[in-house]
Amino acid sequence: MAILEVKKLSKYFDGFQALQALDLAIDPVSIWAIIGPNGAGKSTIFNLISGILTPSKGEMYFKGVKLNGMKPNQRTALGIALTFQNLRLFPKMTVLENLLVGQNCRIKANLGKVLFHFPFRPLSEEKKAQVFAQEVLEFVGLLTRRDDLVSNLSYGEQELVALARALATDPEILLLDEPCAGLNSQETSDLKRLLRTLVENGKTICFIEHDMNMVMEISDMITVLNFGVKIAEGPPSTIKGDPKVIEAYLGAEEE
Amino acid sequence: MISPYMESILIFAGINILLAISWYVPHCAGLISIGQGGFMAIGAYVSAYLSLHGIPFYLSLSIGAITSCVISIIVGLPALRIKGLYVILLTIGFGEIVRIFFLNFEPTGSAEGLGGMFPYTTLLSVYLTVAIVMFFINLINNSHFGRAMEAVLEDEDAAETLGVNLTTTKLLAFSIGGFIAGLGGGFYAHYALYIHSDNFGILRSVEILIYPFVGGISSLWGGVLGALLLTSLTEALRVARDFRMEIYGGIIVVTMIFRPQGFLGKYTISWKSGRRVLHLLKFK
Repeated sequence: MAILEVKKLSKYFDGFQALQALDLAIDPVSIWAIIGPNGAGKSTIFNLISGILTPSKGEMYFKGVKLNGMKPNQRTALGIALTFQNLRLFPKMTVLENLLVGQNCRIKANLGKVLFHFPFRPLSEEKKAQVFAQEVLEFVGLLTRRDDLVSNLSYGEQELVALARALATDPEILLLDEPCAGLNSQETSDLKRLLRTLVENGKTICFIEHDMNMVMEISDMITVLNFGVKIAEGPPSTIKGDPKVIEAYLGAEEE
Repeated sequence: MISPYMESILIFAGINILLAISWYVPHCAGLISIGQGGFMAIGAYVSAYLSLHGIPFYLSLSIGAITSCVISIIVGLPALRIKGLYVILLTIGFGEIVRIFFLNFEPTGSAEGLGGMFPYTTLLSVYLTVAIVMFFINLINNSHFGRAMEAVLEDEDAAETLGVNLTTTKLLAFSIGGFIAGLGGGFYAHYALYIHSDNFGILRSVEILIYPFVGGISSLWGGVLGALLLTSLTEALRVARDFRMEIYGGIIVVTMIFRPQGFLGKYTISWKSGRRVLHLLKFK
């Protein structure tokens, strides 16, 4: 059964159709790529699934639970994590603090417990969150920089913090919006390795990417969008030769 | 030990510290308020009215603060839907509503003001309250609530997709601000001994806003320092007579030009920098 299912999902912005009756069913524990030319509606899908935008039509299900009408933070608590194309980290917070924000939805302690917890030692949940966040940092290889302000990190490192911050919410599915943008080839191959390890550990990854080499290399399935419509779907081998895809990217061959 | 004059300056400074903190906490979650004077008025009038009717001081003080807290939740609910500049306008409007209300409300003296309170406010009680409030705010700031507020301040949408509940975070910040402003108002009423709705107008709200701006907007200690500094400054500048407020304003302008983030940074007074100082001392 698909972990994330989207049925007849449409989104209009003032009459402009960003997404038209999209059907998508993402298999669990796989790497699923969404590609397409600029303005094809790729980021719109993520914004709809994460709840930043509300769909004009259509339904979304996560493990059979209907997502329509849920707030973004409730969806995160269910196990959906998102990274942004422009990262949107919290630049004035340290790397560790950025990750701890992601652990927020896992901490259940109420205000009374925080204020009147004698003796005034950190709560056990707080400690657990700290440990978890540090494990995630170790996984992405940024543990040594945990107390640095995010604004002092290089772009490649910030990209990793964004991934780590999404991972810190302990998600089941990760929606990554162009995780390789601005990375050099070494960083890109490191990232590929990380993503594979994540899938081996039971996570599902859905990502938007323009780097075709990376897409073809690591994804199990690819969905191709153009002007808000799905034009092709399948494993990399079939997508590579699909005439419709080639047309969308390079233009039609003249007869 | 200290002259009554010094004591009065320190007590007013302590009340202003409370008010500065009441501005600082909502700002932690990105809510900028120019209506803290209104919450202060609610705390002041409710506690004064109750203590005049024979209710013990600390009980009436608490009831005043709680009333102010409840009203801040009611005001905060619509503030959740709007952002930035519009929150400022909403709080200004609220402050004026409160001022006009007490100007016309008969039971609390309307335009005549309310007087005859017993001077319960002492140096010790004010600064003890300041210490307790700061202690609890510190606990909140270091908890997941504090991190949620900071995240909301920096990027609301990103925070929400990370699982931060915007509603509870913002309401919490705003209501804590209301509570502390109510406390400050209660102490004020029982020290000034006469309160009038004009004491709590927009001028007061702006004054409250200036303390953390001068002292340092991103830390709890900033508001404390700003309130202490500016309260004593207004007294120290009495020698300048009529030009007193011109110099006061000038100092604020100069501060904003040369140190827009205020005197104290986020970590100037914290365990982190404390450790750094110890580190430096040890190895030099």
